[in-house]
Amino acid sequence: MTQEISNQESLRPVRNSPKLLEWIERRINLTEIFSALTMFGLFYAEVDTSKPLAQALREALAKPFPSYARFPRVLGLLVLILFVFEVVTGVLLAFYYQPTPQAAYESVLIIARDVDFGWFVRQVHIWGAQLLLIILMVRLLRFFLQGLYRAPRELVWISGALLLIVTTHLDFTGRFLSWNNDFYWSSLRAMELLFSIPLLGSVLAFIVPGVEAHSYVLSRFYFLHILILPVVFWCLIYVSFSGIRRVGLSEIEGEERRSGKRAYLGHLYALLILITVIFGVVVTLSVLRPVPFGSPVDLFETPDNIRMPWYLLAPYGFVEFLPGWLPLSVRSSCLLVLLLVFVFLPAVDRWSPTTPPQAVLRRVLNLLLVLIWIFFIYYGAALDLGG
Amino acid sequence: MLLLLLALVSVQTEQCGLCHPEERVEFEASIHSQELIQCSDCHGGNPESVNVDDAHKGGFRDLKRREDIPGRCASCHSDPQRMRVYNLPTDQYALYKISHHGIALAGGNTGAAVCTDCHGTHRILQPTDPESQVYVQNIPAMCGKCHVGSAEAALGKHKSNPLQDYLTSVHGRELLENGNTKAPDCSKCHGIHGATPPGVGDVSRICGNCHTAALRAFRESPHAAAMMEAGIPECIACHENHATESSDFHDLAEICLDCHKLDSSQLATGKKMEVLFSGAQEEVDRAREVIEEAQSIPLFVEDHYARLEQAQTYLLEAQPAVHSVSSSEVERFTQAARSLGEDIEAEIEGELAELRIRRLGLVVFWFYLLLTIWILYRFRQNALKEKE
Repeated sequence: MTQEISNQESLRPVRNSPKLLEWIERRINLTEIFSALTMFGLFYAEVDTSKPLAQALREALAKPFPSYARFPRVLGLLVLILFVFEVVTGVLLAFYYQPTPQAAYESVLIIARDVDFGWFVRQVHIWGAQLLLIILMVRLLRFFLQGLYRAPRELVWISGALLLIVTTHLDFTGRFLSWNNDFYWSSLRAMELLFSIPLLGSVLAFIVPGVEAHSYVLSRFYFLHILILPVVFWCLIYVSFSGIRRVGLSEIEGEERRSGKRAYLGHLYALLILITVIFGVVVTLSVLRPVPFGSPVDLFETPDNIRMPWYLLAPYGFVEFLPGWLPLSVRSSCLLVLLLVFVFLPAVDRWSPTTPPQAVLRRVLNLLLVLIWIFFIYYGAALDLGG
Repeated sequence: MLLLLLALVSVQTEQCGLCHPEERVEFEASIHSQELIQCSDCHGGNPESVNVDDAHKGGFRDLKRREDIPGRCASCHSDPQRMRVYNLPTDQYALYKISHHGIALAGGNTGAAVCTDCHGTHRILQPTDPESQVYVQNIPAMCGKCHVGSAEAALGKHKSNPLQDYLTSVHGRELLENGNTKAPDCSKCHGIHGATPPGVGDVSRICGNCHTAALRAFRESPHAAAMMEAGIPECIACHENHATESSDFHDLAEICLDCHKLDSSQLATGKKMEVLFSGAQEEVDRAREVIEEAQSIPLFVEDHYARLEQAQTYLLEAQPAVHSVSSSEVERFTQAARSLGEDIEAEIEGELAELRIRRLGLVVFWFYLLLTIWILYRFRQNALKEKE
């Protein structure tokens, strides 16, 4: 069976249908559609959309290309795969979820308890989101340490950084939607930190009037969570992959490049393997470490031990590390500056080492910055646990 | 018409306040003032006069003699005709006269409490007013003004400080810390106007006013007759009088040791009841933990919660049953609580075991996953090989 498949000409249109293809291609630009559909990591190179699909593919495949599904390049693809998981499970959850304070908790309870495999969909949704955040962070860390934010990859970095920010928002609006007491209060803590940021905070406070949770906040968060933020996420992924298509994949030393349809087929199989593995990981986490359900929101009593969402530990640690006599607005302004530097790193950091000692210095500096950040995570976590 | 009425009232207003402004201010805040009672209703004299001598003529009473006070108050408060509209009782004076306070006063002890010591003099408030000294939560402090212990201990009346004891007791904490105004203050046991320390034989009746089930069990127990005979004040013997503590079953047998010998059968019964109760309590606690675990998954536990409440109720019923000092009587309830707890635990364990099948499913899932990965890997290898 393996032989049979491999003997076939891959990517050839269905047998005896070139006429049909021709007929369609005279009426619609299939290459353009293919290009758009494959933008998200399915196809590595740019496709000349002015040519017929078969010809455009032949030309694109003729150029040698490195394997896509290879660590650490694979991280971008993982982001995409996990996002698709989130969309699929999210849509399933939305079938049952009711975004009103009266019904929200009960509807999540019904999903997790009464609906067949509802618990599974919910757990995959939660764990997928956490993995997504981790992978986005690791991806940016890799870009940073390897200097992959410099020209011509500025947009890849900026879109990656914005993806991380959007995903944290997706996460804490999601926490809020579950109307679970612990999640609710931890997302309130996250909001407190965000609201204290000048300018940005007031914009957020406009969207969320006060931090009291009434039905408006819930429906706004619902709308943000299921529509606005995912669309922004999708656009950013598009920018990210589109950028990679134009500037090419990052080089890995000593890697052989291949060309042709067979090599592309190999890439597609690698992609399928990846999807299978990441699905396995998410399912395993969901079954072995299910996120507890908790009690419904009690608006009048703040429970003890409310944890900051884990991905905000470093910003929280940073704000708390600054001297306490500074007003919170000043401290969070520093956070805003830091956030802007983070997003627009390619514009801020223009020093590119030219000599080997400089390159070493550069590496040490980058590593030092990462260590400082890890310290802030630790500091925030210690404060969070202690407080 | 209204203006005319106001004018009349102002003309008739007493002039006492001109010389006694402090008393007037206090009096105006009182319920008596609201009910249009006047200074002269208690003190007599000529209230309209602004001449000092004239004002204090005509049957004026300064009421400085404490022994005059109860009778003065009673002149209105024992009059059923007058009290009818306020729906107030009229037996206070009669009760006072047979109270320890009243008997002491009649015996010439002018230091004994009279009406004004508890109710105030001019600023008398309704007992439902939280500012009143006789408001339920203020009563312990009010009685404690005199019954502080040390002075009385000198007279040999109290071995300890009743107020301090009460404040640390389960009754005191319930009333003053938890704000449960149904909890007993001093007057619930000692009486209000007829305040008297209860004697042997009466203690169980008084406690039994609230603790009815405990009283019923106690009366059926061998303790009832034996304590009466030995002159031991019933409930107090184990529970203390003012420093009443809620029963803790973990040291039940220790209390028995106060009277019974170490190798006595009575102590063995006490120990048995202790074991029965704490065993049932542990079982119910375990069931609660299992339910909470199941709820966090979440499983459907509303039904189990209802049964857990039932088990808790059985445990609650076991507490008064202890007063029968019959271990079989106690076992009736602890056994019921225990078996309910065991049922709940077993049922939820069963449901949790079903959940563990998910893990088994995970193994099967990974088997197919690895198979898929292997097949895909082979496809990939073939695809890359063909090219060469």
